[in-house]
Amino acid sequence: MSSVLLVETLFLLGLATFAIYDGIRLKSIPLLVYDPIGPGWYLLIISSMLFLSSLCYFLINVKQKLPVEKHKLSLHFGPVSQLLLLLVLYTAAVPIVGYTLGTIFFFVFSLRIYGAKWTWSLLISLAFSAGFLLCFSVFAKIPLP
Amino acid sequence: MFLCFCKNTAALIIIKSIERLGEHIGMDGGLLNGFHNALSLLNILYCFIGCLLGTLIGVLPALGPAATIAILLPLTVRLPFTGAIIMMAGIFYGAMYGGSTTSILINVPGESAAAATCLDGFPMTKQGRAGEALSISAIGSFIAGTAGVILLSFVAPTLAEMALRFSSPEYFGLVLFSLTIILSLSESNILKGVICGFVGMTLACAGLDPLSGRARLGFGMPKLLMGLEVIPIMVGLFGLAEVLSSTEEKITSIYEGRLGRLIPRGQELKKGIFASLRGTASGLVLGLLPGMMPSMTTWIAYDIEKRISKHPERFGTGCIEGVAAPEAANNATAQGGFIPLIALGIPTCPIFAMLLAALMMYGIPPGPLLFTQYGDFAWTFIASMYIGNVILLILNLPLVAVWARICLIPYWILSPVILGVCFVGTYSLRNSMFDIWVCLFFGVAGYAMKRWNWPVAPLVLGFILGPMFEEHLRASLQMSGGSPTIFFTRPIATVFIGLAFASILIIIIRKLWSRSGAT
Repeated sequence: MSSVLLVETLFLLGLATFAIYDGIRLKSIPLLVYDPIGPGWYLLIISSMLFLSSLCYFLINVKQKLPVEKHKLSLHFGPVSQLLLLLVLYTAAVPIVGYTLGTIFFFVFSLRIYGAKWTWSLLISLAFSAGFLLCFSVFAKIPLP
Repeated sequence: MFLCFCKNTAALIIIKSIERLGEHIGMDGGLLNGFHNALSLLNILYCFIGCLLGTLIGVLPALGPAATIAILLPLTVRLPFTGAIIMMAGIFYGAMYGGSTTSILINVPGESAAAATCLDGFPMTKQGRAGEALSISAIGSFIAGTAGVILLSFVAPTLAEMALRFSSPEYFGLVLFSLTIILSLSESNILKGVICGFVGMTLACAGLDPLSGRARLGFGMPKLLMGLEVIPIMVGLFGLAEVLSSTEEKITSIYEGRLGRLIPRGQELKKGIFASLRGTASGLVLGLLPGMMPSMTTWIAYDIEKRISKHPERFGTGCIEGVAAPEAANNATAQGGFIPLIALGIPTCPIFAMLLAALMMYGIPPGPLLFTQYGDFAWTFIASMYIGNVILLILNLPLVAVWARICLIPYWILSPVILGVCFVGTYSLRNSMFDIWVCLFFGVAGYAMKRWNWPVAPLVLGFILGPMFEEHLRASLQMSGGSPTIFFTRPIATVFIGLAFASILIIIIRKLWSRSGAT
């Protein structure tokens, strides 16, 4: 059984289980107005169908022999993982250090991930950050974090 | 009896459309009034920006109209709603025009809908006839786009008028029928599509229930009581995921062809125009069917063209019909797909779902009430599509060489800018960092889905259509005192439910047939 299939199924069944639990909880609370289905029953039905279809998916695929390379969870820290980590750090850092500083560092490191040299990364990053501030904050008056 | 009902309904629509044409063309809230508004300097500017952005997005292989509209949606809140919607629609059909550029020049489809164009477009480039290919693509797109808007002008108001008689049971049937689109959008794996659809419908339940006010799927987080916003989800699934995938694929482009003569002449031009007309017809007819996206109709149009050709062996070697027909079908489907969106408020693909979200964000109800309550806006929007097609022809014909150069923009410059715009756009919705985290989460989810072959479109459609489905189901059962027979005692609701089941059956049979054919 591939690790990818396991991750997929766990996520889907987890979501469905939680939704079923919430549906049962809501079903037991009496409603103030007449509603034949109510918020609980609808959620219960949809999440039950999600649970059943996810289970079918697991049972159909667990028996199939799939190419291991394609369906193996890779923990290789390549450019995509680096970019994701950078995005998480950027999102976490912006409320602390401010949008301008955070964005400059974000652009510098994202350009580095794509293979640009430090000098170019810094110069382009400063230009992009200034451009963003001008466009969004000054001209469009969009509030920035 | 069912076939008779369908024939009579189709005839009624055509007759009513012709009867209403006189009224709809008039100055009082009709098409002429729409042109009067659309030809204002500001609206032309928005249309131009949308078409330009759309063509640019179509040309650049790393970004699609879905991602662009998703990214720009939160930023356009600050624009007047007519201009914003005109611009976003321009991005969509502009991308259909521009998507063929990279297909023809570097054998990489700018859009999934332009994949069929690669088959004959790139061979034409290798023969030094890139200019002819790009021109016939633009001309075919113009013919098809204009035909699509003319059909929209005829059919949409009449369909909207008929839909005014709909109540909750009819809408329930219509939404159920539309949900079967999920099966068509599931590409090779129907079960995955169904699962994604249910995931979307489940996630749409998060927040306060609109009828009873009860909190659902809060996950113990107060922020989730407000529910999940559709914009961060779409920006993540389409924008962020696209950037992550392109980073992995290390997108580069090298244009080596010669443009050659810009406009085809003589027999080549004649063949191209006739192929465009045939592609337009197939694109318009197929585009009205739920689930028929431009990416599907282009292949059907290419196949039809090859089958009716006297020399089918020429296809794949640089045949002008092989470029003209799919491009025309592509645009015809794209523009024709606005009919169910505007008339009934039903999106037939994720991009229309985003336009629907945009309209709802502005408080404009797409559907039957659009022509009665916002008639000015509706006709201005339709008129702007006529203007948009002209702008796109002007942009694409003389500026062919410019678009060829734009293919060379390195992705390492584009990608951080796209990510920055995603961040700002998502934050600007509610000034909430929580939305950014949602966007990030769905960005990772979208990337994983693309990597592991899960279709994204059903999730988006399930998320958008789920609340409508629930609302009309519960309202219908309240009307009938809990009895489900209400769906079978109202003929229109029964027809839609019947069509939904028939659609499911056809898709399953087609799937089984193709599987048995393969074995």
